[in-house]
Amino acid sequence: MNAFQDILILVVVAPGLIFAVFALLWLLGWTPSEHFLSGITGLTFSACTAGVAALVWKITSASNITVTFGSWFAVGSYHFPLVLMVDRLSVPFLALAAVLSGLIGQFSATYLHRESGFLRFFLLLHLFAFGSLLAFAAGSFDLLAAGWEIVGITSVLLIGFFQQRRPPVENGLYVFGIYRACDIGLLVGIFAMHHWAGTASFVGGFPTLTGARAVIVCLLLLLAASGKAAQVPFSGWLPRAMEGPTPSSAIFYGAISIHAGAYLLLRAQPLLAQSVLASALVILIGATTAIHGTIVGRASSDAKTSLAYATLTQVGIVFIEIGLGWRWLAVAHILGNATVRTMQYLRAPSMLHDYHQMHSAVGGELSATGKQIEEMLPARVQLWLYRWALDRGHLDTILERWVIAPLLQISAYLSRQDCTRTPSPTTIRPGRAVQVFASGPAQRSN
Amino acid sequence: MRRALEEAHPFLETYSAAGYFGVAVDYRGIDDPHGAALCPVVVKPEHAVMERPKPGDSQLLESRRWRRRVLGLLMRNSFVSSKTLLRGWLSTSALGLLSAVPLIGNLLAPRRFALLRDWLNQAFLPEPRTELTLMRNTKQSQGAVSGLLMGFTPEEKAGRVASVLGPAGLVRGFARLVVILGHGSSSLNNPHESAHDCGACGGRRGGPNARLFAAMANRQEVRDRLRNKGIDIPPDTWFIGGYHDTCNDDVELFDLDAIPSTHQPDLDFIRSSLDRARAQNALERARRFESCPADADVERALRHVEERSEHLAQPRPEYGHCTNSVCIVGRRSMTRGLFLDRRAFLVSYDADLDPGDEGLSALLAAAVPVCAGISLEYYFSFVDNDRYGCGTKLPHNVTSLMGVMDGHASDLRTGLPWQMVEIHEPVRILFVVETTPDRLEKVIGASAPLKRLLENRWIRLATIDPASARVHVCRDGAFEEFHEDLERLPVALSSHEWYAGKLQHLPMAWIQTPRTATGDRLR
Repeated sequence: MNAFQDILILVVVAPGLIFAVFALLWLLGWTPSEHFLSGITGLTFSACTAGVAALVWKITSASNITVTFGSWFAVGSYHFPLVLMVDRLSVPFLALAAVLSGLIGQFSATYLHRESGFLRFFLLLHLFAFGSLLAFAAGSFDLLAAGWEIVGITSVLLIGFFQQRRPPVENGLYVFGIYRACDIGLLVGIFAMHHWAGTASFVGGFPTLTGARAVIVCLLLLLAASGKAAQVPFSGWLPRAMEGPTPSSAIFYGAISIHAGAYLLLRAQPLLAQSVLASALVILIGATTAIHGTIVGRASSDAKTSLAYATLTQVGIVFIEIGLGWRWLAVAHILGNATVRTMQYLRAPSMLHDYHQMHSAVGGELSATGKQIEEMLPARVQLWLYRWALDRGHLDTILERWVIAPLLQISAYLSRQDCTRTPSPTTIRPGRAVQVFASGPAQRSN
Repeated sequence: MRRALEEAHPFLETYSAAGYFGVAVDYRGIDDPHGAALCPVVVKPEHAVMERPKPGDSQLLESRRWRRRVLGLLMRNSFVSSKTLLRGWLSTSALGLLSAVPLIGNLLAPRRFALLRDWLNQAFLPEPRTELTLMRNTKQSQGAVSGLLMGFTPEEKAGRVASVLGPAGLVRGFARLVVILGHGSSSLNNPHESAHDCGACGGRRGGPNARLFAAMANRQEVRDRLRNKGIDIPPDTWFIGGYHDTCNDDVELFDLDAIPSTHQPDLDFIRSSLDRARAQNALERARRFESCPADADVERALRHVEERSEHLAQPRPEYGHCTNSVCIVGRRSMTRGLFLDRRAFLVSYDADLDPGDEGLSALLAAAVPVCAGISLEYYFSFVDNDRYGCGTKLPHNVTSLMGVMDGHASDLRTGLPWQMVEIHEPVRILFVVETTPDRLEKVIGASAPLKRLLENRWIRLATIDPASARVHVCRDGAFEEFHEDLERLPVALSSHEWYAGKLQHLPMAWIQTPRTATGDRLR
């Protein structure tokens, strides 16, 4: 095992180790001081950044770096391969994750000073960094899915960071529901890869699939990617995710988490390239999202929602680029978009100040920005479009009415059948999560 | 700040007045697109004042305006276009990584990054030397600013100056230099920035008022008229306007090139005293910040507060009026040397010079609503932060360019955020006025707003007799003498000795520094 393999392992494992150690100590009743915790965080991510820099240097001069630990477990012919791999695609994402996690840690040390959830936030930040580094450095879809799920759960827990208020928890659950529903795509996709190709590892070549099988796997992965990247029709969760502290909104929905879906598609690119149908669907979803995002963004009146839709618009374009096979343009676009949005999210509280500044700098005529595209439409269509944009394209309502409500009806029907057939008096009541899930969009459509 | 100055040089004298210094104006600086009222919100300004470049510098202003305009349009367009479909595609993918520069700079070295920014501003946007349009010019007065009078007549100027100096008791024994300091606060990434600015200037920064006041008081025709009102300013007294940033403790002095060369040594002296005082002030404020090391020296503390005002992630740039509990209206000799832990509003007033109580009623008409308003704002934001305050700042989301809401959808949040009030002690403010109960009752009785505040118990009231020092407390609308025995105040040799290393509220103490009689006066 050479030095760069060690570095790769350290980069991925370090934040996870910090999380595990501090979580364990916390369970044993020890709370570290803010100073100590932010110091450790700074140190960890500086080391990660340095490690990634070394990996970048190695990758540009030589080939991929692969670390194989063997299998986590094996059942029959299936085994869960523990393999890390860094190639030219994953290295920019690793760099992004390491650098931005460090910067967000630095920001949060001041921003969350004296906050009761300080330790919780930093634990989740480390866990998130571990999850995203694992997903980006994974050598197989199995391991990628593990990192993917860690990113998902930390995302939900940080949306619900302010547990004492109701809306953050409700919106966290809503996002959790969408994530879980779309992650079915990733899990079934991996299952299908194992079933048809015998492996889900992409070290040294992609799992060989052909014809309809390739298309099916592509579509399953596309479902997972669209959910994570808040593409149409799942876009409604993105503005709801703005309930957490500003820095977590920045790194999740401006930078890393929102682009993880694009990374998954970039990984699946060899498969995608085989299928015109799947590529066309990626382009269609991306284009719809980009247009949806820019129209809804124009009508949103608050800083974070308008940033959310600005991010979404560009992620939609990234999907188009991936569908067209322009991999490196997509990567450059992701890096640029992630950096700009992180900065803009972190500066979101400055919006009043910035507008004052710009207003005085241009001499008090800020409102005149020239012709708006929507002014070319007839007045009645403008009004309709505005209402459509205000309700975020009715996406939440559509999902609620045509997907969630029928599902709930089916489950209610099934549980009725259960109750009549079995003598047991226990009836299944929809839990809190289901109720919230159903009532969230309904409130908005009233 | 006043105690810090007096400790810096025992022969400095300080006074204080409501931060708009009696000049209610609609002010437009060289960089402002339009005028803004610099006075308490209950007052409507009748006069307009503009800042304009000195004759030699108008060219400089033109180029500054042009460059600011270009920069402003660039900023706006890059911001707007980053959010659009096609332009956003180009700008994020081609230029996006550039935004890592300010991000990293500001997060890793906020203070140095701000210095770099200031240096760039100096280099590319040099500020022209300016003056204020003070003169009333009847021909221009109609046209320039609709409905407002342009500038002040000498009579009006004298009236404004007298309305501050008279009640404050600064009518004789002027020093060679008198510095008038307005205040405001600057912070980054803070939707509640203006909540730290000057309440008496309508939540704006009070520098122009101080500058205007000083410019008025320096004019010969004003001084002639003041002499008729019993305020005798000697010819060798010079007024300087200034601005104190209460967040980073920076003190800026205006119009220094107009100071007579004979006063240069006095200026050097006052500048060094101000520098010592602002560093001491920073050190005393820093004791309440957990993130500043407890053993920090003045240098470190000053750097710490400077960094606070330039930190992108700082939710509590300063504690502002937090912990306020009392407003003392009276002579400084009553409170000088008293460590009040920055919890008191001090208003200078000398009852002996105000036999008809006109000064007191004018003073209380401004001071009581402003101080009571500030105090109640902190009070209610603290006692029920979720309902009367706006909760924690961390999930705040600026909406409609108007206010903040929580997360992605909530009611508009009003009041102060938790980070601003967390160390507050909710008490209704106590006004201690240095006069007799009879005289105060008359003044309060004549003013309906003050009467309502008192009768409905929004404020508490007490008097201290200027002659006998007996204290009367107002209980249920009637003054009764205060008899309880008081403990003797603890004594300390300096403020720093009293507060060093302590994070919590501190009791009053007597700071014993040697003192002589003559010298400069401030505020």
